[in-house]
Amino acid sequence: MTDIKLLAKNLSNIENEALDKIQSCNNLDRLKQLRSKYFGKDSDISKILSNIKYIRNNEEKKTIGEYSNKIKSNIQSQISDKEAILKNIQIEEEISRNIDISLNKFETNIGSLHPVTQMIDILVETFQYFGFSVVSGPEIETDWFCFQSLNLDINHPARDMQDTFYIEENHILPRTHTSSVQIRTMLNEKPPIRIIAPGKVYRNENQDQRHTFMFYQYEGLIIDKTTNISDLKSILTTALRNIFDNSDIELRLRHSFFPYTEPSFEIDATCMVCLGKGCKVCSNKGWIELLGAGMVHPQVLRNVNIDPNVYQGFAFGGGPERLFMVKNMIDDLRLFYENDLKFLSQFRKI
Amino acid sequence: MKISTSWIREYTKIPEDSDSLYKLLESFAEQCVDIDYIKEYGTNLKDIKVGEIIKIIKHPNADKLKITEVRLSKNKTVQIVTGANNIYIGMVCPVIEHGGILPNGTTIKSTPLRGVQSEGMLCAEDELLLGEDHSGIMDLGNEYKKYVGESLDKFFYDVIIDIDNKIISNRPDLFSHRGIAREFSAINNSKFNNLKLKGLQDQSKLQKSINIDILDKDFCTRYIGVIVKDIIVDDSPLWIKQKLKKIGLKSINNIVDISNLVLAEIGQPLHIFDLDKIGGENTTILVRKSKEKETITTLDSKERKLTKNNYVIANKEKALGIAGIMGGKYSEIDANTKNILIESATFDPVMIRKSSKSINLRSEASLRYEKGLPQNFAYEGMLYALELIFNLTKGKQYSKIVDIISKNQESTDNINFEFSKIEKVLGIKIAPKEVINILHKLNFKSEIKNNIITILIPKERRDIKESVDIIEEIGRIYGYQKIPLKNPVLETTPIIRNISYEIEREIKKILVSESSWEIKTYSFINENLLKRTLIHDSSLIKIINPYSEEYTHLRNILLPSMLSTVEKNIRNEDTFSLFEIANTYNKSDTELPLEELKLCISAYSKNKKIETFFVIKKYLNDIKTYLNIDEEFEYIKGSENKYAIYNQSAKIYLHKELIGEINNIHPTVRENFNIAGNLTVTEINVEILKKYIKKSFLHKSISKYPIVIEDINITYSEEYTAEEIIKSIKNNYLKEIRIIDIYKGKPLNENQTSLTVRLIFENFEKTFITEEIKESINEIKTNLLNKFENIIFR
Repeated sequence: MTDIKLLAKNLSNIENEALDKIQSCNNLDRLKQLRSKYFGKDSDISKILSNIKYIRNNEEKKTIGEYSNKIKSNIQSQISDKEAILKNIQIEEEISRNIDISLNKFETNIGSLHPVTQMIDILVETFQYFGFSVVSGPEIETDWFCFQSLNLDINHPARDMQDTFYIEENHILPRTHTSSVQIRTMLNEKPPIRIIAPGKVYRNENQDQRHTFMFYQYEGLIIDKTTNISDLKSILTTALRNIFDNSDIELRLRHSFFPYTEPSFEIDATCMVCLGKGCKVCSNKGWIELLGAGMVHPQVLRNVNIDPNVYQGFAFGGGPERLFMVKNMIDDLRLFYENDLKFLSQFRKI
Repeated sequence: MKISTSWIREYTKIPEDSDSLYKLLESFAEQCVDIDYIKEYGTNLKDIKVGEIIKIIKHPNADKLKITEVRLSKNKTVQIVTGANNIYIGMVCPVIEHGGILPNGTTIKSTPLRGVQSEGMLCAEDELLLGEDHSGIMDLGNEYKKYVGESLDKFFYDVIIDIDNKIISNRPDLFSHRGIAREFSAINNSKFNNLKLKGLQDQSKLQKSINIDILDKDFCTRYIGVIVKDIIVDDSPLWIKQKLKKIGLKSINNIVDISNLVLAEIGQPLHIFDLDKIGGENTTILVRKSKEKETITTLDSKERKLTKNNYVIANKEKALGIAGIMGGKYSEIDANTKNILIESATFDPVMIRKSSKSINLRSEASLRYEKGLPQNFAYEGMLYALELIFNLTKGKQYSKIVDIISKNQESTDNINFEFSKIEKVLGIKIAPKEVINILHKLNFKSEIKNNIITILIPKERRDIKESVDIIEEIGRIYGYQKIPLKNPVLETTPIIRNISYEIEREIKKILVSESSWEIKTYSFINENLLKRTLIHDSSLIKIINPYSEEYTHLRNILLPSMLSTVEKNIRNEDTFSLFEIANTYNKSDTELPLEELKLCISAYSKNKKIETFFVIKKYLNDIKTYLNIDEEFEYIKGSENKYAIYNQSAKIYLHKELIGEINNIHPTVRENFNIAGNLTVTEINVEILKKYIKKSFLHKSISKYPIVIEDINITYSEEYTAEEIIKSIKNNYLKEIRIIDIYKGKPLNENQTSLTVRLIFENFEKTFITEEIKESINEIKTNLLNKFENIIFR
């Protein structure tokens, strides 16, 4: 026989004990424990309630059931209230905490692309707007691809412009310009052709502020039925304005001579420092020489089996280092190949 | 090449005022040939006057001084004391009066010299910055008498330009003042007055011929010779001296100066022999290939050993000069020369170039010959030289002019093409009248009929071969700046993707974001660098003509240059990682060497506690993940390379293919590069990597049920590697295994490692129940225990 008074007394004791404990609880983890203590499978309340089934008197059963539910819901709501309070305290605590925002606790964790890579990226992106594809070719070339196909016969005086390293005399050589990629592309593709070819080139000349025996070039080429000098001017003006992020830049085509283009030009851009007024950077000329260009020579087209009576187009080429130097006011080309982190770290970019 | 603008003025009118002149020069640089620099000559001569010495008396108190009376105008004279010895009565010379300022800024004051008042100064060349001569007072000569009292700047001021020879290497006609003047006239649209040569005197009375034998007719295509007798070798007149001086040439004597003047004026090299030194009037002149072991002392007093590529001008006994390059010292004109042989010839440009290169001797003559001079220049040069010699040296023509054309020069007579082609290339319409005018200014005759333009090519324009050559002439003189900008219309063509370039770019991107720095080193190395790296490799490709001892071979490995770069940066940084992506070059069976793209990454730490090996390994695995390569890299311990620490190195395989190594660098090598600390370098072949990149992502379905994560801890001894153990963990539900901790140290034994591994389980059909996971883990543990002895789970 179960004494409902005793049960009630026990429940009341548990309630008092619980309320005390909840009252004095001051952290959320402890509160969580309390919740499972009073409501878990093996809680005291459950144990007591498991005895209800022995009460025969339904009236009593109901009374004690209602009483226990009342106690349970009281404890429950006390816990919930306390939980809300404690959570609030916790938030208050967290948000009132100050941090010293002036500190850096982790160092910058990026390296940098080499300036030449950075410039080639800009070039490639720029010329892709006009539908140029990026192509590459071997760095070690035959005389035919590097010179003869480009109207530079073995005794052409213009070969003096490009002092050549040789691996096999007059036959195998590290290319002196990326124009060899033009030839390879024209032999393999049918017009319309639109390519940009960045890459390493080599010239056996004395190293100084403006010369290194290895450097980069980018070679551009368009071959189709109509592209003319006006297009050349327009495309290169847009491109250089984009590269220098300066829409005031104008180009000047200066007559020049290359055996593989006719007409040929040196291309100057308005000096970005003085905007043409003349300053130290442009040696008071107001113009800065940036690249060479011209209409592809008909003989070069014949050399690669393209009919110059049907097709024409232009080629251009220059050094990404030169563009980067002008853009960032660097006055010594050699810095690009010394790989001093003090230099490289000035141009952090991914 | 230096060009005097006042010399140009003899041919065409160009602006006098400085602003307009400089503007024209800018156009000239744009439309013809770039100017390296512009220099003013004869400046600050305003206070210097032309004066005439009318009286000279001895100084009463000094033997070395003289008192002169100098006339400065009809009725003005000044008294000047001078120490110069070359003065004479009637001498016309530069004079500066009291208060005047010399070009160097000195103000001249009237002062007593040993008791006699001197009211000014008679000037030497160097005091006026018109030359180096300080031996005496500058003699202006009789021709200046009519200018007495006038300021000197009017006669001597000039603007000198130095033009870029390279751009006109296809234009032999422009290596002369006359040629450049024609360009100025076209650009400035001013009349061109060609040099007027008087032509020859009556030749019929001259009987004497010269024996000239051209033995190599491909080399010497035209040879003109003449004998002049009874010349008087003397100083040149002032005007010649000044012309030469302005373009950087020193006056030698009237004969030599005349040949230099002809060269500068019309671009034809001449050679003048002392006739009596080469065998007299009956000598035989031979143009021939040089003989074996032949030597000659050239005008610059250097003895030259000739090669099989040289050609000489010789008599029967010996070589007299290297044809087209430099004359011999032996037959040089000197103060006693009386009779001369003048040579004006045309030589083959390619052979001249080879000849000049073979003995490494270039001259003003070879510079022009190797561009391919037109044959008619030889004749004009001869006429001009004779005219000057008759006028200035009292010489008389003794022989006939012997003119041998052994081979006619190839040249284009005329070109025709559709007029519309001009617009098709330039992108702008130019009126026919304007086109014809431009061509006319450049000495081309042209006409347009039925939309076909026909152009007659002058002999000196040997560069003109087809329509685009003419279109270039039209374009540059018309002015490229007049061509408008427009939106180009381009044919549609898809961009062809360049996977190699893209992959290279992606690798760089990931490494940079991982705190590595991209470097670019030279493709050339030398044996010493390899030696420092303990590499012995005789298979490197050699450069025949290397830049220096440091760069003699093409590299087939990036690592040595990487080590040098680490060495260079070690002073400034304690911890850093560098990488380079570049081609390596190896001999191959094909015509060209094998070029392979390699990636080299280094990680350096001064602090030995940082295990750089694992930094690099993380980089490699990140690259693999980022590039979407399915298979894991397989690392097999060890390396045969002497620069590697065997026990701290591995060969790296991908799909069983060796792609490279990862090496902790051997202390000996580190010491060779002065590197203290930990250094790991990997070098892998990007070409192989490229093959295994998955090009597309195929969607894999994902489970709707939650994953379950369980960590297990395994303590194992040195006989096993972490990789072996992890690879042995297998279970059907296992989705992923991650290493989350590796621990060595107390309380473990020295040879023990504790590895914490996170196992991630996934079920596609239902939510896991706890028992299933427990079972799986037990199964895994049992398997491991069966396979590895002495491992402990915690």
